[in-house]
Parts: sequence; structure tokens; C-alpha cells
Amino acid sequence: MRILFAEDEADLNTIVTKKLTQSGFSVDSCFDGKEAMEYLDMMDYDAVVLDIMMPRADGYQVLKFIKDSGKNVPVLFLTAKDAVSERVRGLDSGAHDYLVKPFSLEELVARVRAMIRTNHGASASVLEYKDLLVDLSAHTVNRAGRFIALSAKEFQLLEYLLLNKGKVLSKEQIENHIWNFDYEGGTNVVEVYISYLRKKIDGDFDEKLICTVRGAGYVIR
Amino acid sequence: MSFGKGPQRPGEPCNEGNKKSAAPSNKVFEWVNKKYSRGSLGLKMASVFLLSQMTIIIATLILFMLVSSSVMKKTIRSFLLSAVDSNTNKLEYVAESEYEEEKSHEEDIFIEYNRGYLKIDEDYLDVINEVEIAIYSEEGKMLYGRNPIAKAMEGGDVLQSRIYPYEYHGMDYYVYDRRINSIPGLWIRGVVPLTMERDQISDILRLMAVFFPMIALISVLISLLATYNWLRPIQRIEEAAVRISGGEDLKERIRTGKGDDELIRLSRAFNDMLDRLEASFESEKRFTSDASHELRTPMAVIMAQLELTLEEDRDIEEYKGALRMIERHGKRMNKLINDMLSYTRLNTRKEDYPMDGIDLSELVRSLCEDMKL
Repeated sequence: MRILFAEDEADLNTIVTKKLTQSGFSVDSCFDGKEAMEYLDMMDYDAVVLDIMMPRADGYQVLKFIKDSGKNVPVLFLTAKDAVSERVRGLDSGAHDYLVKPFSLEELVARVRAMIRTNHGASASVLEYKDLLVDLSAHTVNRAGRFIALSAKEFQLLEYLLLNKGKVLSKEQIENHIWNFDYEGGTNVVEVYISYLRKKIDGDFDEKLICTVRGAGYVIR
Repeated sequence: MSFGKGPQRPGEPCNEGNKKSAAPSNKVFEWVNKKYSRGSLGLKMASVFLLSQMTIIIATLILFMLVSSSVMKKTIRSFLLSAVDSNTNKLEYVAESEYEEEKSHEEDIFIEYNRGYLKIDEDYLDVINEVEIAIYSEEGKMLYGRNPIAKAMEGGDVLQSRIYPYEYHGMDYYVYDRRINSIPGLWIRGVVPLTMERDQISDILRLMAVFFPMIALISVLISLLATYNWLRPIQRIEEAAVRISGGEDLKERIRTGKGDDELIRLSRAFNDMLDRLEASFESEKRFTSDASHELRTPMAVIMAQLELTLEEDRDIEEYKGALRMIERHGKRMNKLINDMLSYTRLNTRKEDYPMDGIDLSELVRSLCEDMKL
């Protein structure tokens, strides 16, 4: 899952980015609102975490930008403004969640996950499909009771496919959502990882869950 | 001073207003009780107004009565005098010899006197203007006429050639005795009761008995209303002060009417003071909110860094890095706190800090220059 994170306090930015990456997200970080909007223009994200008080453009302006462009990406406000009126304003403007500084990193991660889940219509943190069980918070995968070990990127890929189950996802989309800008791209990394994933998930089972749609992409169905 | 009962203070009994009868006097009493409490300035003022008014009215009244009484008495005395004097030359002594001749005037009255007759002319009047005239001999014997207090005067007082007062059965009289010079041994006496004077005084009193209560009532109402109106700002100020110290917000202002008297000016001054207070409280609220806001960000960094670092065992360099970052932000918070303290101190104890004039434009200009570089 790909996350856009905007925070102008450099040290905090570093720490939160590190934590989010460790938690299995691909993170693009920036330091002001204008930069955030530029990123948003270029890319579809699964979630956006915004500070409110930022230079050049504040969190509300970025949120408005997101709404106006019709993107259905959930937004979490991360801010020092704790007054009830501020929280109400934030949530009424269209943010999905509102977290006040100082906050717990763990909580931030959990909320981001929940935000993405609800946006995809999934309510629990455990995704189920047929005999496949994926626990998003514990990072475990089970098929037919058998535990399957996945690498971080494999897990992210499976998560992405499963959250969008039934929807065909193109290679480009997959690449954008699982890898961040640090990755140069150009290679067939998606194909490679799909094959890794297939081997682990579908390899020993009769029913193949991961399907290829020629010319379009991949889908779990 | 509490003009009305005002906001209830703990321990004070509720208004024990008189609920018994609806008689007008009780109603007024109730109203007074409601608007004034013991020791009320307004009540004192109203009482003073009332007392001075009543004093003046009563004093004027007494003076008037005295003057009018004295005028009356003078009038009565002059009636007495003129009555007696006018009758004096209506008397004539007629000798025995002339009697037959005089007798033909049937209107005249003849009385035996001193070996002759006393002729009383037809124009002689027994009563003139309530003065009763009688004719007396030197010995004090009444020969003719009327005297309302003849019985009382019998055998007593000797004829005195002047006007003198006489009291009989609670009634005052003036008496005037006068010698008839043309007829030796003959006196004429006029007696007049001071009823006119008495009547006039009682007329005045009766009139005042009717008007005085009305005047008094009007005075009372006027003074109560006036003082109530003038002193209302005091009550409003007190209520506002109580409300504000009771913790309600400082947005309250005291209603001032038109005009420019001392209390209205006081109310306005009070409102200005409240404006200043409110502004200062607002700025303090803003300040504490901004300040804690500012402190939140370095706090968030420190907490996040701690959480992240303590997730697992790290190597020395990672720990050092984390601690350095924490130190940086700790210092930042410290500076903020010191700044906040200085700010508060500056605001509250201006005299501790020597102030200097400074050219702000120059400062800004030089700062911009520095920024450019």
C-alpha cells in the first residue's frame, strides 16, 4: 500500500516515514502542501497522512485538492491542533481520521490500516477469501490452515490484490502501489513478484486464486 | 449598597414580602420593600428628599397660619373699633324737659338715665360685623344692648378704656370699652368673638388635611421613582460584578442610558474596564493555546523517536542518534518555555525591565538585508 506523508517538521517526518515503511507501507514523504499536491497529481495513493500547519499550502488546501480531483483516497490529519472545534472542522471537511500530536506511532499505523480497509469495504483486519486467511495486523497468511511465510513486498502485493479482490489491477497500478519513487522501475518487477506470490499461495493448491488477465493485469478471484 | 434585593447571596433569607392584604398601603409597602433593602442608599436619599419637602411644607403652613391669624385679629380689632366708634355719636342725653319733644321720633329709643333720658338714635346698631355693642354705666351695670358674655363679665372686670382680650368657655373674645365723653358716666362696650379667626384657621387646616396627604404621596412617589432611576446604574454595576466574579463570561456590559451624570459615566468607565479585562484574558488564552501548541511538535518528535527506538534492541550509534535528536528537541522546548516565562514577566511587571525606544522600520530593513544574503 502506498502512502503519501506530508509533515514540515523534518525529524518527525523522518521518524514517521521510518515507522510506516517498517510496517509494510511504501511511503512518499514531503515537507509542504504544494509538494504534496504535486505528488498527488502524479500518483494514486492508498492513503494520505497530512499535517495541517504546513508552509506553502496547509492540510485543508491539500484535502480540498484531493476532493476536487475526485480521488477516493482516505486522508488522516496529523496535527497539534487539538481543540474540539478543530477536530470537527477537520472531519467535516472530509478527512477520515484525525490524530493529535503527540501520538503513538503504533496507533498511527493501526489507524492508517483501518482507514484503508474501510475504504475498500473491508471491516476486519483479517481478510478472508475462500480458504485464504490474511491477518493484516499480525502480518500472517494462512491457506487451508497452513501457515505461509511471505516477504514484506509479497505480503503487500497480496494485501493489495485481496483488498481489491475481483478488480483487475494493471502492472502499472501494482507497481505504483507497492513500490515508491525510490524504485526506478523499468524492470518486470511486478511479474517477478507475482510469480513469487503464486508459488507460495497457489503452488500447493488446486484452486488458483491469482489470475492473469491477458493485456490487462492481475486479479484475485 | 444593594438597591434591589439583587442576586441572591447564600445565607440571606428570601424576600419576606408582605403577602397579607392587598390594601393599597400594603401594596406600596411591598413595592418599596422589593426595590429597597435595609440601608439602601436610595431609601436614604428618598427619605431625605421627603423629610425636607415635608418640613418645608409644614413650616410654610405654620408661617401662613400665624400670619393669617395675626391679620385676622387685626381685622377683628378694627371692626371692633369702628363698630364702637360709629355707635358713639348715636347717643345723646336728653333732659327731662326736652323729653316730650324728642319722644316724637318713634324710631329712637329712650332709656331713663341720670335724671333724664338717654336717647339712642335709630341708626344705633346692636350688632355690627359680629361685634355686639352694649351700653354701660360707670359702675359696670349694663343699661342697654347686647353682650354675649355679659353674664361672665358681671361684677368682675371694670371697664377699661382699651381693647383687651377675654376668654370664656374656651372661646376668645376682644372687648373694647369706651367712655362716652358727651355723656358723663356712660360707657359703651363692644364685644366680638374671635370666631372669624378661628374659622379661618380651621378652614386652612381642613384644606391642608385634604391636600397634605396627596402632596405627601406625590412627593413620596416622585422621590422614590427619581432615586430609583438615578441609582439604577449602581445596581446594574453590582449585578454585572457579581455575574463576572461568578465565573460567567466577560462579554457582559452594563446598559447605560442617555445622559452624562456621574453614575452613567461610572457605568461607562466600568464597561471600558471590562473591555480591557476581556481583551487581556483573550490574549492570555490565545497565548497559552499558542504556546502549548508550539510545545506539542517537539514533544511529538521526542515521543515518536522514543517509541521507535525502544521497539527493538538497537546498536550504539542508533541509540546515540536517537538521543541526540531527543536532546535537540528538548532544548527547543526549553527555549520555548523560557520565552513564555519572559513574555509573561514582561507583561505583568513592566517596571522590572528598562525600556528603550527603537526604530522598527530600520530593524526590519536590516533583517531583510540579512535574509537576502
